[in-house]
Amino acid sequence: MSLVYLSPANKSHSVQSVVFTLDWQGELSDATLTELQSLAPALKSNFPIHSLQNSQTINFGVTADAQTSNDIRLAGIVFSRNRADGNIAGQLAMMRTNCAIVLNDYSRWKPTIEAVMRYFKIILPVILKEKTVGAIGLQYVDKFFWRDDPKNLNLREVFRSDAPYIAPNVLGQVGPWHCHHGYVLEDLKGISGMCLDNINLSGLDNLGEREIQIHTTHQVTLKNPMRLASKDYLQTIESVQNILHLHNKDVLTALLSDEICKKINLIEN
Amino acid sequence: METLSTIVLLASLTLPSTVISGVKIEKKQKSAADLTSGVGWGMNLQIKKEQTVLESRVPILTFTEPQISENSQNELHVQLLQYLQLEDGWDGERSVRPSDDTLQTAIEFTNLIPTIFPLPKAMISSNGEPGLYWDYKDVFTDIQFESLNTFSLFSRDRKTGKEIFKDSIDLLTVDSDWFFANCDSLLGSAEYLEAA
Repeated sequence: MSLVYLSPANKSHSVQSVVFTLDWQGELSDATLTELQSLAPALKSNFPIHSLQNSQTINFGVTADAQTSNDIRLAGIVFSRNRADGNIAGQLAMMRTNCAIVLNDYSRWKPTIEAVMRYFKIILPVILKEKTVGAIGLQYVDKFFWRDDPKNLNLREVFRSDAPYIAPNVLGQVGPWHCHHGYVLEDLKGISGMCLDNINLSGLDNLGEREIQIHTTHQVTLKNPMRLASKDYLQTIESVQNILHLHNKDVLTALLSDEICKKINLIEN
Repeated sequence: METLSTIVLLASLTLPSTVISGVKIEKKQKSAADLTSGVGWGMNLQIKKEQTVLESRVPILTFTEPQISENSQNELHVQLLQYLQLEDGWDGERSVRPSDDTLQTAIEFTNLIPTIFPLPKAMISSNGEPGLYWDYKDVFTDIQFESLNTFSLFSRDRKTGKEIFKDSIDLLTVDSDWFFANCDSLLGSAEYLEAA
């Protein structure tokens, strides 16, 4: 096997970033966004920087009498935490139709989901006063770096030959490639709703080095949207996220060869 | 014609090749999820039927750009960098300025703190040693940076009185596992979030 030169993004796993999302129908009002902004002190220990994101709409006309307008409105609030060099370590972004928690230094699931639930516990009462949350999502970006000449990377050693999520043509590629697959699961481990899976696979050259990127997204559209009155909304989110996390592991295990799965501790050595 | 050429230029920057005239182009605000260029999340280009077009059906292009105003430094980093400006005698006759090495070590340490851990506060002693501390109802933890790539850890569980002290810790041995092994009590003490 020649995979000694293939390094996962981290020492014991390949996750480069993880994103937790919630979506709702329609847009949050200015008043709700303002109330969310007022939560900055409660989030400061983890996300010390907060900034407003404005959207600017410019209308151009092409007739002689057309008006040009320039409208700026509040689009959302982003709470973030940066590295000393300014790179983003994590963000909690609350936009008018969704919110996303991005963690660029994932390491362990249990403390991560516990922390994420603490953030949701802070922001959700404000959001649910105005909207019902209808979708819960989990995204992962896994990366592997190839430290040798790209022509020596045998993709048949990286992916299972019978993996259902990758086009067979990819396995013979020497140059950069991409493969996208999406589908809906109507019954995922008892979740009351449908799950849209997107699996994006790429072999890219970055600064002369070949990278394999696996971008998986799982988004559950709930049969019954969560309301403020449904007191167990936090438990529902945590339960769905736990299922999605395990589902993601199943996807990767079905996609990657045993040797790679061992490398990233998906299966035991 | 100038307006039209502006539109063409903008369109060439923002439109997919299949764009047709008479549609509204909306470039959505950049959300945090854009960092991962996710499907269904990243920077979306949406083509919508024009809603505000003139009755004459002349095409109008509308695009939305985010305007972001933010400072890019956490307060913690700002404070540590400010220590660089201290001079000897900053806190009395015998006080000394911190060395560049210890401050660099402190800043590098902050970069290693996993995002799910709360950020500490910065401090400096009159002998020039920079430090970091978390002071919560249940737990007090502080880190002192003694020399380049070396620091000590003190932690006290305020419920049980249990104390931990480790010195001469090599920064190169610190990763997320180190935080879970040595500072996990900070995660249990969610006091900093109780304000909500």
